[in-house]
Amino acid sequence: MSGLRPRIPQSCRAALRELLNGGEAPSHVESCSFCAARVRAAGPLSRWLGGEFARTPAMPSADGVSAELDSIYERATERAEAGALGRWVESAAVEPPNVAGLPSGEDVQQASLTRDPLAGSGLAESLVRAPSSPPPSVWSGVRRSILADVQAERAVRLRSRTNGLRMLLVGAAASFIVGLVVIASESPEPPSIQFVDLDRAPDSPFATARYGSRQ
Amino acid sequence: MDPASELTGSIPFVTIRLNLLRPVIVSASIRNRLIGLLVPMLAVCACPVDGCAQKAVAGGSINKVTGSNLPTLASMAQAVLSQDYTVEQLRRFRDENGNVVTVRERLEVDTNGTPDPKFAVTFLDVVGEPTGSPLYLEWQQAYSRFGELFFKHASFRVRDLVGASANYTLHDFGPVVRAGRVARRMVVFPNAGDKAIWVVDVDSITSVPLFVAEFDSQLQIFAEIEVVTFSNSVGQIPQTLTAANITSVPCFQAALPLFNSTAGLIDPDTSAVADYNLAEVEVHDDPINGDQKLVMTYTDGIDEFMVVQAVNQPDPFSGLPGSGANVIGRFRDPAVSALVFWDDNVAFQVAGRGSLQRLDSVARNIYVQALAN
Repeated sequence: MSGLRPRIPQSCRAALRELLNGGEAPSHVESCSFCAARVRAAGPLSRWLGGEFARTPAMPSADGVSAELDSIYERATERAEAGALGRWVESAAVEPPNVAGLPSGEDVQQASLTRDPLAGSGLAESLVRAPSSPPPSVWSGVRRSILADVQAERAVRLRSRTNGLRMLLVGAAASFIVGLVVIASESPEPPSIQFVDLDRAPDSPFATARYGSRQ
Repeated sequence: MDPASELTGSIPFVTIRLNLLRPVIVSASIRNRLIGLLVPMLAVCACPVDGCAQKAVAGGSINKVTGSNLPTLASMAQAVLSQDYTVEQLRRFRDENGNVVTVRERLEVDTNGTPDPKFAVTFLDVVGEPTGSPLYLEWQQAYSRFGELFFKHASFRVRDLVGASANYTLHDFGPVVRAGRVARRMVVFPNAGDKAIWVVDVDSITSVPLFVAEFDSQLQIFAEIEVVTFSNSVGQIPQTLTAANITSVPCFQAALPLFNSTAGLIDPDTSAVADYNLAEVEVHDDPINGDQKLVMTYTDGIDEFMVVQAVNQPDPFSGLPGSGANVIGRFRDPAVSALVFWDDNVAFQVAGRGSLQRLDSVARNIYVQALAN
């Protein structure tokens, strides 16, 4: 892909190619910082590529894997035994089952269920002990929070109802205005009237009073 | 006369965009200028009249006028309520063609403390016409039919003092002599430009108008009434046949029971002329053909217009082309504005002075009201 590789000047490229081919380092390498850095990195890189790290580690065999896993298991068990869990197991007064006296495996299981393995242990007592009730202030706080929730719900309901009523009124006003506009637009236009000029005054009391006899 | 017969078949149907005309408020400077123009006009136009008045002065008595005797709108309104008088006067009519006819009449007023005094108008003759001539007979018949209209609606009267005070101003132009009596020449000037300007010679003692001239804003004269003789007494006034067929009611609702059929009648919407208020409601019964009509008169204190609703009338526009539309027939000249329309067997008329163009809006509103009824 063009454009992704850094542009190496022609002179540097020529010098490094010659060095890779086993030739002697040209004088350009000593004067160019880019080429000098490349030469310095070439040493550890070649050792890493050609040295012990060049060898890939061998895969362990199947027997070897199980042995290693067993060792890991043992190591974890020892650590658990030495920790809190082990101490707790050792301190528990649990009678080991009498295997010889039990008729069958089911009975054994049944017997183990009926027998409280924790009986007599302080752990069971601590587990079954009723928890301490919280102080009254906690209960009043809970009560306050419940009441606040209820009031908030009521306010939300009221607000929604008011908004609904408001929307209803706005809708009614809008339809009223639209109705008025429709009615106004439908109102009849005034009749058109034409004036026609007459050539003689019509007979009227005023014309008679003005002109007198009009024969 | 059926309005339908007045219409020709070639009426141009023009759709006119109606503009709501508002009264033009006359500024004080324009008013003073118009009044200044009126004075020389009166000096020219009233010369023959003043000549008659001066002749009468030689044979009559002259009353002194003091500053406290200046007529006011209130004194002129009071004269209608309290002053009995009998006058012989000349009434000049100008027809649609501008021809002038001068008719001599006698007016007798017997006040009764109400704005509707008993009165009688009697035709005497047509100036310049011999007795019995066709013109003489024509006007004799006109006075027998419409004489009351001439006194009620073709004369200067303060019909509503509050309205007159709000819509007009009174200007004094000095003393004159009229019909052998000392009078004061007053100009009644409207606050709006679409109303008439009145020049009134008011008797200094009785506040009865002895001379009335009506001008429009262009200073065209439309009406003239000149008192020739004046007497502050009155004889017995018989009830005329015309008066017997007119029933005055206080409002529109009170008029409905007097009609055989009220279908189509409406209480008119006159909000377009807010300075006019309802003054009279009358129910007219024609004794000849039995037709009934409701005449509602509105006034701004001095000027007036009428809304007439005649029931059981045919549509005057029915036989005309394009009659499917709602039509208002309009006649307008400088003297008269008349608008006619029809709906539901009722023929409507809205009529007033020619300069009152707001009547277009009034007619339109009433027509819309009738269509919606």
